[in-house]
Order: sequence, then C-alpha cells, then structure tokens
Amino acid sequence: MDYKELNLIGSSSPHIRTKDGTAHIMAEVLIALVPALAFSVYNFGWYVLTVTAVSVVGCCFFEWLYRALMKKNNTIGDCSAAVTGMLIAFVCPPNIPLWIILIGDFFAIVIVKQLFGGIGKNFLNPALAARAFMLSWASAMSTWVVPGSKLPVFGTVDVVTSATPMAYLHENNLQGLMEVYDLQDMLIGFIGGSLGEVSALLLILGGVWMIIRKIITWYIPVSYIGTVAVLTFLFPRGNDPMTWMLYNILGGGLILGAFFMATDYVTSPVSHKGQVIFGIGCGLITVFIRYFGSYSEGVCYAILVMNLTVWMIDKNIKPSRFGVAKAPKAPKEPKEKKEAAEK
Amino acid sequence: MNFGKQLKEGLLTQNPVLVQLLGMCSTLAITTSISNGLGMGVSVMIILTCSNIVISLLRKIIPDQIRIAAYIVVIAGFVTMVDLLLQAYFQDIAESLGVFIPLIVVNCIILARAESFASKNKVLPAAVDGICQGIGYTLVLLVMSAIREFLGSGSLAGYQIFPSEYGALMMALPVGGFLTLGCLIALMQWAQDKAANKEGK
Amino acid sequence: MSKEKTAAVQPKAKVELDPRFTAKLTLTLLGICAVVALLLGVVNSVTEPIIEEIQAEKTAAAMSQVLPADEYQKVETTYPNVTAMNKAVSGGEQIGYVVEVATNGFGGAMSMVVGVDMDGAVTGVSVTDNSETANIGTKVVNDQTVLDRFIGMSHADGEITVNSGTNRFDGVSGATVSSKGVTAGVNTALAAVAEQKGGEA
Repeated sequence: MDYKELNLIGSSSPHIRTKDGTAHIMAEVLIALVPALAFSVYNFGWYVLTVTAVSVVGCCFFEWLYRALMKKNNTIGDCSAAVTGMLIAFVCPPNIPLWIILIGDFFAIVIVKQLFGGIGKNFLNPALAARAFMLSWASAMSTWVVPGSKLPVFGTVDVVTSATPMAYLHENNLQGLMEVYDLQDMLIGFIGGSLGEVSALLLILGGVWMIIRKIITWYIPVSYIGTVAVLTFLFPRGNDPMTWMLYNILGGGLILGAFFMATDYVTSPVSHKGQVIFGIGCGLITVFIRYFGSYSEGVCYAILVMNLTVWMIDKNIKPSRFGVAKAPKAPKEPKEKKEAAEK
Repeated sequence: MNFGKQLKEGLLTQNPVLVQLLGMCSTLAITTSISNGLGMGVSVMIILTCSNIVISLLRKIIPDQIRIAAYIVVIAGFVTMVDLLLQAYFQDIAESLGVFIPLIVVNCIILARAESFASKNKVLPAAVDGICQGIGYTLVLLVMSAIREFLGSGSLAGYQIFPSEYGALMMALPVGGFLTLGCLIALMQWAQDKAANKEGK
Repeated sequence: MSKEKTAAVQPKAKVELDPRFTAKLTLTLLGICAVVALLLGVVNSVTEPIIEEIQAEKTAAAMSQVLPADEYQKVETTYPNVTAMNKAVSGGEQIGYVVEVATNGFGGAMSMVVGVDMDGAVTGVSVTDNSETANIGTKVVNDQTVLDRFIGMSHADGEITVNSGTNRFDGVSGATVSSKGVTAGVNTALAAVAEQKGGEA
C-alpha cells in the first residue's frame, strides 16, 4: 500500500487525537446530512426539525452531564454527540414521540458510548444501538406517516400512516409498490420511511461530499451497496432483476447506513481491505434479514452485527504501516508465488 | 467466628454473581419480576445452606476421588425436595420459575461453594457461608429484577407505577438481562476500585 | 486447590488397582445415594398427593371455566398433541367437549384447556401451564380478556390465523410467538373435536 493513502483521515480509527480534528470531521458530517434533513422537513413537515433539534440537544446534554458528573474533561466540543443525535433522529419514524427520542439519546450516549470510555472507545454505533433499544416501543417505532404529511412543529396525534417500501418488498409485492411509488419517487424521496432515510439522492450527494472532503473513504459504502445490488440482482424472487435491485437499494435505510453509519471510524475496520470485508458482510446480512427475517429492514442489525466483528477483521488484516512496509509484505510473497505456481 | 466478614464477602467483596460471576444463567433468565427474583433467590439460599451443611458434615467421609459426584447427588437431592415442596405449597412461584428450579442443580454457585468452602470448613462456618452467599445472590437478583420490572413494565413487585405501554420492552427481554447485569458488574468494579484506592491512601 | 489434594489425586493408577479402595468409593457413593433417595421418597410421599390434588383442581377449574357442565366424561383419543378429551354433560345431555392440548409458545411447552360446543365453536380457553416470558408472553396466556377473544370462533371459516386472514385472532403486539402458540392449540382442539364427532356419527 502506498503511504500517500494515509493522507485519508478516515483510514485509521484510534488516531483521532486533537479536538480540532474531530470537530472538523463531525462538522463536515453534519453539513453532509443537512440536505437530506431539509428534504425531510419538506416531505414530512416541521415536526422533523423539532425531533432533530431535540435529539441533538439531548445527546449533547447527556454527554455533558456524564462527563461533568464523572469529573472528566468535557467532549461536547468535538461535535460527535451532535452527529449521534442527528443520526438517531434520522433513523426514527418522522412522528416519533419526543420522550422516546430522549431515551434513545440517553442510551446512545451514556450506555453505548460513555460507559465504554467515550469517543473512540464504543464498540457499537451509538445511533443504531439506540434505535435497536428504542424498538422497545414497537408501535411508535413502526408507525410510518405518508409522505407530504406536513406535521406541525409540535407534532400531532392524528396522522395518516402508510406502509413503507420495505414492507412491500418484504411481502415480495413489487407490483404493489410500483403502483404506489415509482422509481423517481424512490430516488428523490417522496416515500414513507424513517425521518432521514427517504431521500436516497440527497444522501448520496452528502456521501459523495464526504468522500470528496476525505472524511470517509469509498470502500465501505461501495462494497456494502454493491453487495446488496449483486445479491438482489441475482436473486430477484421472481421479479424483474433490475427493478427489484433498484427498489431494494433505494428503499429503506441502505444509503443512509452505508454512507453515514457503517463508515463510523470507531466501529469500522482500519484497513481498506478490512473495510471491504466489513461492507460485504453488512450487505450479506442486510439481504438475509430482508429476505428471510421477520423484520422488513435489516440495515440496522447488519451494521450492528458487523460492528461486533471489527476487532476480528482488524486483528487478521493488519494495515501496512509507514516505515515498516517491508515486514508485513514479506510473508505475502510466498503466497503470491504459490498462486502464480498454481496458475 | 467472624460472621461479619463472611457476610461482607457474600454481599460485596466475594459476591457470587457480581464478583465470582457464578450462576449467570438463572440470573439472566428469571429476573423479569421481583417475585421471581425473590423466589429464586430464597430457593437457592435454602439449597445452598443445606448442601453446605451436609457436605461439611461429610467432608471427612467423602473420598477425594468421588467428591464431585457425591456433591452433585447431595445438591440434586435438595433441589428435588425444594422443587416438590414448592409445587405442593407455593404453586405460583413454582409455576413462574418453571424449569429454573430443577436447573439449580447445575447452578455453579452451589457446587463452587461446596468445593471451595464447605469441603474445607466446619459445619457452622459452612452454614453461615451458605446463608451469606445466598443473601448476596438474592440481593443481586432483587436489584436486577427490580430494575428490569420497573423499566420493562412500569411496575414494582406487581404494583403499577407508570402505564406499562411506556415500559421499555427490551428490558424484559433477554437483552435487558445482559444490559442490567453488565451495568451492575461495572458498578461493582468501580466501587471496589474506589474502596481499594481509599485503603491504599 | 490445595497441594494435598493434587498429591492425593496423582497416584491414581495405583488406586484403581486396589479393590478395597474401589469398594470403599463405591460403597460411600452408594450410601450417599441411598440416603438421598430415601429422603426424596419421604418428601415425595408427602407432596405427591398435594401436587396431584392441586393439578386436578386446576384442571377441573379450567374445565368448568371453559365449558361449565355437571359432569365430565373421559373420551379416548389419539389425536396428536391432545393430552385428554372430555365430554361435557349437563342434564343428561352432551353439551360439548373439553380438550386438553399441548402446544408450544415462546418459552417452550404450554398446556391449555379448550372448550368446544356441539356446533364446533370455542366456548372458552384457559392456559393451565406455561413458561412464557413475564410481562410479554404472559400478556397472552394470563390475560383472560385476550383468551376470551377465541370465544365463538370455529373452523367453519377455516383455520384461525394470527393477525391475518378472514378467521382472525388479534394477538398481542410484541408477543407474536405466544399468540401463535395459543392459536395453534385452539386449532388443534377444534380439529380434534371435529374428528371425534366424525368418528362417533
């Protein structure tokens, strides 16, 4: 591997050292999320903004509170809690009650992140772990308002609900889905679903922005989405492969998860090879859950499960380090020779 | 006779669940309501005390080579007796604990105390050890089941405190058991570290 | 473990050769087993009638709850998963069947009693034994208002299904497996009664 590649800040997780560095990265992530949030406000109404604001403030508050109570240096300045708060809001239904959001914030920041030592030490993605816990309130977490709901600032109880694209796909009812949402709706985001996951186009835009700004590398998103694409194309469950694949990629939280969750530095492998394996694993589990599970969407659990394997991937795939490049390369040679010999 | 020391060990420094990490299976499985936790804890305490007494009495008779087999027979005997008695006189508890009463036979706490304490000590300390370790176990079960029952279904010992639809379902599921136990063990470590630091000063 | 014990274990090969020592081991273990077995026998002889009485009472209570009648007459049946079947007779006339079925929930085996009238409709359901998760599965099996939703349902419109289909049983959200288990039990009972009636006619 070329040392130049180490320019990418995203390539090695434990090396985030200065506060400025983290704050800068997190600010870029927040910027990348803004277009999708703006669209969500347009799609679902002002309540979306309330939810996001409460979630961000909640996360920052719990971070500050824990660090203050434990008499540790305060870390809200690095904005990582704000990003977690934003992502928690993004993975919830648009009309989620605020008290559930706050419990999710508490779980993400205190239980998942701070109890393990704060930023850089958590082994699960806090936002996704929080979502898994928030499923405690199953009915609130699976009430999907129709797109164009225009929820008022403080929310409302009588909402019109609809099935998400994932529910149609889970029942293998592509025809029914195509009647409700065409591919253009799916791409732009005029669909039902979690608050921040609907607009695939703007999320991809945000993801590309992050790649251009060298916040993340392309390895995880591409290998993740690619795996899902290949699997759904090869096994379309009796539908037109291309259409089935596109609906599967654009529906649900795949784009959001692949660009913004799976790429979390702390909970993804450090080496590029490891990141590709991580992405493929996420893709496999996502498709398995969508096809064979009782849940219609599998992105959350896929990423959480793969988070648990990161230590294993990192242990077995050591990134080549600057200055000691020769040592790890040496054992590789006989392998290559062997392959050559086999050919 | 240092009852105080043994009690302190059972409750804190050598707590069977939080420090020795014994009997995890039943701890995780049955702590969904306070009545379950109490029933299980008291059952284990009785069996532990009885088996400790008997094993201590027999410690010079049982040859080393067959000690584990002998302990298991004694423990299994007491477990079956408690199981039958519960079914006969405490039907409700027997029903809600179900298979976990027979499974006390393989609860590591009892075998571990038989092996590491009762077989090497006189009857009285062994009995006290059984009671103290049993109290330690029961206390952890009570704390865990109180946390899980309260957060999971909004009630404490059956009294509804907030409506159950606000309860976190995850806390009543196995996930909640692992979460609660993890947090309690961490708390215990933290407290012990703190106490050790104080003593060091 | 202490040093003495490891020392005692080491000359194992020699020990095995000594028949007197082997005999001693065997006899000791046999003695312990015999004493435990004797005690268990005593406890069992005390508790057995009580447990049986409780079980009989529970079954009787469940039977009269699901289909009140003057008398219950046992019927032989070999239908799978049906543990017992009774004709319910009131005023000299048969008014229906009471079926005990075994089914599976989230926590393993459940046994339930289902009352079925002569038209093949459910008159009542009661779960007599279960190991469902407290506060989740128990919301189905211990909540009579939930179980009463079965009353009046029959196989006239096909098998009962949970949360779907025309012959629909509204389960408890979060406790799908328990709801399905109970529904399967009711389906079994209805099918068994249909077969029984077909055999008699």
